[in-house]
Parts: sequence; structure tokens; C-alpha cells
Amino acid sequence: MNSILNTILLQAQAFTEQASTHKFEVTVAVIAAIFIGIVGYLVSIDRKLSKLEKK
Amino acid sequence: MVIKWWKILGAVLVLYALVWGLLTPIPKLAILEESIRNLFYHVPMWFGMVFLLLGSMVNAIKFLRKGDLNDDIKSAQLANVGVLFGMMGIVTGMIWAKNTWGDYWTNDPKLNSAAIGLLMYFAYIVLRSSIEDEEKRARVSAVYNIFSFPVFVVLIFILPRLTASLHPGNGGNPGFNSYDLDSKLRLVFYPAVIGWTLIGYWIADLAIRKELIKQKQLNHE
Repeated sequence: MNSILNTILLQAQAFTEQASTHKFEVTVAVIAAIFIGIVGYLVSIDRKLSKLEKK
Repeated sequence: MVIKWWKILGAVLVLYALVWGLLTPIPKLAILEESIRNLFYHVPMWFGMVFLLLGSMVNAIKFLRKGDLNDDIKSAQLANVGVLFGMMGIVTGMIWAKNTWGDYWTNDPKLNSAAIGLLMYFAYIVLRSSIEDEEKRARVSAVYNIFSFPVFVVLIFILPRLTASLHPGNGGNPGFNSYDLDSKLRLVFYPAVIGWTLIGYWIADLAIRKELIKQKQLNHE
């Protein structure tokens, strides 16, 4: 997960340098982190349900 | 224990669309300006909703043909997530409208149609909760569902195109193509639609499996 965020951060930095905006990449990375967190939660519910189904 | 491939694909596509929706270069547009990026967030909610409600109708038809109550559960949960996506679409659309059209709610035919359409599905949810008997609930709501979907499609895709509308592609308004000078927008838009649809199906899948387990427990008792 860290490596995904790092790639996004690097991509975003390259973009913001081009567009001469400042620290926009930070917000992009934050949004990505929130979404990854939500997906992680979905995965954990999914796994718990699989366990219940096996019983 | 393994997460299905289409769920991971959905997550990856949405992540890509979230990030590239903010970073991709956009054409210079009057009024819309940077808010054209909402194309990657607001519009996929509606497209996702349509695909979810379509899945709901397909399962309603399946139920009427085979009488399997599991299909009824699938149909109901897909409709629930579809309505959630529709509400997200309304809220995001209102924010966008305020800042480009000048008001949270305009009398745009597409807005009013979408509101009527969502009310039809609210009625579906209320209808379901008002019938105790499982078989009867499944049959009545399946029939209602099968009528609702085509009406919703007519309401949001056909009627607004017959009158003047602020939405692109409707009435005298130019469509998506006029934004799409270098089709760079499509490169983010289509993955966003597919990704959000898959995420919607994932959420519905979780709700369906929860209901199925609940049903099994009830049968054991």
C-alpha cells in the first residue's frame, strides 16, 4: 500500500510542478489514502462473510 | 477467502479515476473551468446507478421465472445500492449546479426526472417493507421493479432529450463530444464508470451475502 501511495505522490508531484501549483499532490495522496482505507474495510467485511458462509 | 478479481479491478479503476481525475490535463472551458473534473465523479454515480438498477430488474425477472427467493434478495439489495448511488448523484449534481448554473435546483427536465425516478425507487423500498409475507413481497416488488426500470430510463435518458435542458447532450445542448477535444477525458471517464459500477456491485454483494446468512439462520431456528 505504501508503494502505491508513493507512486501516486511522485506522479502528482510531476504534475503539480508542470502546472505550477503548490502542494496539490498532498491532497491527491490524501484522497487516495482515504479510498484505499475504505477498500480495506470492504475487504475485511468480505473475508468475515466468507468465514461465516463456511460455517 | 480470496477476494474476487472483479472487486479488485473495481478498486483499482476507481483509485486510478480518483487520482487521474484530479491530475489529467483538461480542455479550457467557459463557465465549467476546472469543475469539468466533476465528470469523473458526478456522472459515474448515475451510470453506476443505472447498471445496478438494471441488475436489480434482471434478478426480479429471474425470480418471477424460477421463484427462487434468493433472487429476490439479490434484486432488493442491488436496488438499495442503486438508490444510494442515485442520491450521491443528486447531491454532487446540486453542488455542481450551484456553482455553474447558479442554483442548487433548476427546473432542468433532467433534474426533475431524476427526482421522480428516485422517488419511484423510494416507493419500491417502502412497498417491500410493508408486506410481511415473503413470497408475496417478492412477487409484488418484482413486478413493480420490472415496471420501474424502463420508466426510469425513459425519464432520465429520453424525455430530457426532447426538451430544452441544461445538461449536455439534451435538447439544444451540445453533447459530451464538444468537451472532448482530445478525448483525454474519456480515458478517465470510462474507467471511472466501470470502476464505480464494480464497487457498487461489490457493496451489493456484501449486503446480499449478509441477507442470505441471516435467512439461513432464520430457517435453522
